[in-house]
Amino acid sequence: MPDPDYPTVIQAGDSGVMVLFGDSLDMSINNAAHAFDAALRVQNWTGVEEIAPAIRSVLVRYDPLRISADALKDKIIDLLSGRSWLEVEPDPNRRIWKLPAHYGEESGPDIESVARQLGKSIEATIEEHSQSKLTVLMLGFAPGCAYLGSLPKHWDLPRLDFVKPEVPPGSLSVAVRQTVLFATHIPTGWQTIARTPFLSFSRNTEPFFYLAPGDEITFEPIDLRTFKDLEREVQQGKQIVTPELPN
Amino acid sequence: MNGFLEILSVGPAVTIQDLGRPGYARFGLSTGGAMDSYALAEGAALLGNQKHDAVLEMAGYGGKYRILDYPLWIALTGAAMQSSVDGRKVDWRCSLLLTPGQVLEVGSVIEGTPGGTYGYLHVAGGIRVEPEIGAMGTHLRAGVGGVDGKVLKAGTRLAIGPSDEDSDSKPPQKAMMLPDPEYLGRRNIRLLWGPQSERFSQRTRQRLLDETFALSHRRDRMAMRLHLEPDQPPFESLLTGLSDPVQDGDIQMTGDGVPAILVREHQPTGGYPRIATVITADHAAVAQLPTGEPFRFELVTLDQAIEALKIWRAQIHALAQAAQPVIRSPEDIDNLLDYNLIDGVISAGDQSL
Repeated sequence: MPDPDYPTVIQAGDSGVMVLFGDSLDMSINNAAHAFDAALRVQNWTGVEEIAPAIRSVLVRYDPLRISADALKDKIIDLLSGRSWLEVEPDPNRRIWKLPAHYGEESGPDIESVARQLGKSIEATIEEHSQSKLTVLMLGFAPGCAYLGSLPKHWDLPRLDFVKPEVPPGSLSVAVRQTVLFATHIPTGWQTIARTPFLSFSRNTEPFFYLAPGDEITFEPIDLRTFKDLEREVQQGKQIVTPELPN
Repeated sequence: MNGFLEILSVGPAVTIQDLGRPGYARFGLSTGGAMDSYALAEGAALLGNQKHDAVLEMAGYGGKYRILDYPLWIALTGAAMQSSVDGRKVDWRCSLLLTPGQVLEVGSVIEGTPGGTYGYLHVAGGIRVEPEIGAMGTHLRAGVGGVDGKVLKAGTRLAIGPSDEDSDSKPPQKAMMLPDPEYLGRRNIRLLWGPQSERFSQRTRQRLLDETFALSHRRDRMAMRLHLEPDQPPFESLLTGLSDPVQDGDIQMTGDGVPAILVREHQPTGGYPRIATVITADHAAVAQLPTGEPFRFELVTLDQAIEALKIWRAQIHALAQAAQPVIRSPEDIDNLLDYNLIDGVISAGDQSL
């Protein structure tokens, strides 16, 4: 059912306007935010400085001395009214990544606990996780840190009741039907089940960030030895995965 | 032919800063950059630097820096700190030529009014490090930029710019000075209600405007928590919602009911409800508030926020014209008799003229 309260356009500080598409974690809402983000980015409106999507919203940061809040909101409302954003198909040009991931052992210390909570074997847990077609819902928290969703309903796992001081870059941690892919050393309260040697950002080489909101991701289970080999290649600056485009 | 700045000793939170990295919030990286953009512009005006040239940001305490190989023009801006060169006092907001071997010592923020938190050390041509993700400034939380993405350590030698050959930075010819700015003394921080303000009760919102607050010691380049006195109970804390984009100046209500003002290295997205947003014109003022100093929030309208931003930008824009040649006072001159007292080069007046 379309929610009559959305989409909505709200002033956020003196230099921001927020566009919200809903109030739940729903793939059509997330897709609407990505589609509107893409539509905004090709407008090149004078005074707009940055466009940043999140799970169900898009922030438009602007210079209020170059475009007034009213003028900007009029343009946004105009653009919004052109389409049914909750019904748009996922971007046909979205990129599809198959990322290598080493599950369990030192890379995923919480795999047993997660399998137990799912009532599945470790093998079945790995199979279900790696084969789930996930979308980059947003990048947030830290550079290149991607929130991927959504896993099947029974993956609605709680967060831990403590925070691990640090997990290494590439760690894949799960909770609330999402997988978060870290790109830096990060504290987390999510359960870590695997690690990918792929790093989602580079500090020296453009375009600096590889994953973008809306990208599609699945995982390919690899063993520890392959992980170490690929990790070495990444350290040598090699690009170990390239995305595909949908047929 | 540029020299080096050698760090002999350094405070606990000194970083290389510049204008930061706008445009990467969609990839999980907030802009970052200097906590005090006015102080950044002051240094550029005093030294003829580019506005994006990298500087040292010194939180609370500076350190000892030695000039190596070539003479170097420097300037100190932002919160005034105890400072000297070879034992002789150095004035804030003045440019100064140092010679190789000379040691600049920068201590704590000078207490009293207006005080502050962040002092800046600028060098002509800018500090030069390898840019990361398009800028030199340190984003500590992300571990990007500066030297290894971290605070500076003693023993480090920093190269001096300009970073590109085509730079039209003009080396200074003489010592310049700027008047003390007003924002450092601001104790009413202006705010606007935001997208989530109405999730809070009217009473909670009114409380934010009615009470006097101070910043606690738990403050850094990411967030600054308020200090609540024993007679100030925690605020109403609301359930975390879906993550939305976060902006500089957002006042977030953390789970324990203590408001925190999010600053340059804030998380780009967040689910904690935000009760209000500090206006852009007061970002430098709020960042510079001395820890423990009483201040209040003042609600303004969007029009007032934009009027304040116009004034703020005009002040920054006028800095290059506002810089005046330093007039030295006689007690600071070694050999007074060498100077011609008649032609007006020397004023017996106060140095802060």
